[in-house]
Amino acid sequence: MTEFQGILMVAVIAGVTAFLRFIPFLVFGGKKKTPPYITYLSGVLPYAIMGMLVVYCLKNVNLLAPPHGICELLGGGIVVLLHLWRRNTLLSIAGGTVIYMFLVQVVF
Amino acid sequence: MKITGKYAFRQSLPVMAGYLVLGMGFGVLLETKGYGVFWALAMSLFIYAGSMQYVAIDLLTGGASLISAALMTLMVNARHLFYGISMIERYRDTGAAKPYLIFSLTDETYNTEGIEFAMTALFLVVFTEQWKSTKNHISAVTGVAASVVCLVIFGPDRFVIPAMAAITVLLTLMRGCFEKKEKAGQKND
Repeated sequence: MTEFQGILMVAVIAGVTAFLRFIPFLVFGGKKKTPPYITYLSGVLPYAIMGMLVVYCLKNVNLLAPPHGICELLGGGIVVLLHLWRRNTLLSIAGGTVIYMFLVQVVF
Repeated sequence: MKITGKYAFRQSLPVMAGYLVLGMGFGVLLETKGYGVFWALAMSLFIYAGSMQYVAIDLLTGGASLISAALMTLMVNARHLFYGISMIERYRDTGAAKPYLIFSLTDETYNTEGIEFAMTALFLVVFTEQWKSTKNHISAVTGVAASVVCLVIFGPDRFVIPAMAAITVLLTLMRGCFEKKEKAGQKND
């Protein structure tokens, strides 16, 4: 990919992101009240989307071949356990990532 | 309680700490892929969406097409649509600050080999927080289940769009029982 193509790509990503941020305010930010269906979706979607994003991050894990995703399982498990214990975002992310990096580089 | 600048700053400190770590990880990762300071600064300034910026590294190094990048951004950042919806009333009278406030809507929970796991960890943290924040886990489970099924059927490179479609359809179909549950919950109060 050339440098120019890379710049174009960043511009596209920035543009779509900005569009997504502004569009609710352009569509619903007026005097009218938000339709109940949209309000419902805005309430439930975040949970489902976050579930999807977790799956997305792990999409390339091959359970059938060694090490069978064990680094991700242990790393992810540490993230969740740390977070349930301390509710500290920084600690949970750093702790889980460090364990994962250790497993990936040293153990497996 | 009067909301002062000082108070707001103190409340945002944990988020800032998270951003510093993620930002440094982002910069380091970009560098290992051959993109320098200019790229890190520009992406952080103009995209200003951490998870998307990490995905962007994949897109840039993987030679994805512009259409793929646009679609992936739609998928990954779609949740910003819904942040906006929940802020419509709150931002109504903010005047000149409104565009900046809208631009800077983020997950707010920000709150070399293996450092990309930080993104997985971040999403797991958000997922855990969300799980703890409600008793009704139907939506979260739907999201994971639909995504896994679509992942198996469509493969890692194509499952996001079908998954989002399936999630939207399923949640729409389940709207009836969600609202029944809400009503039942209110009766018991």
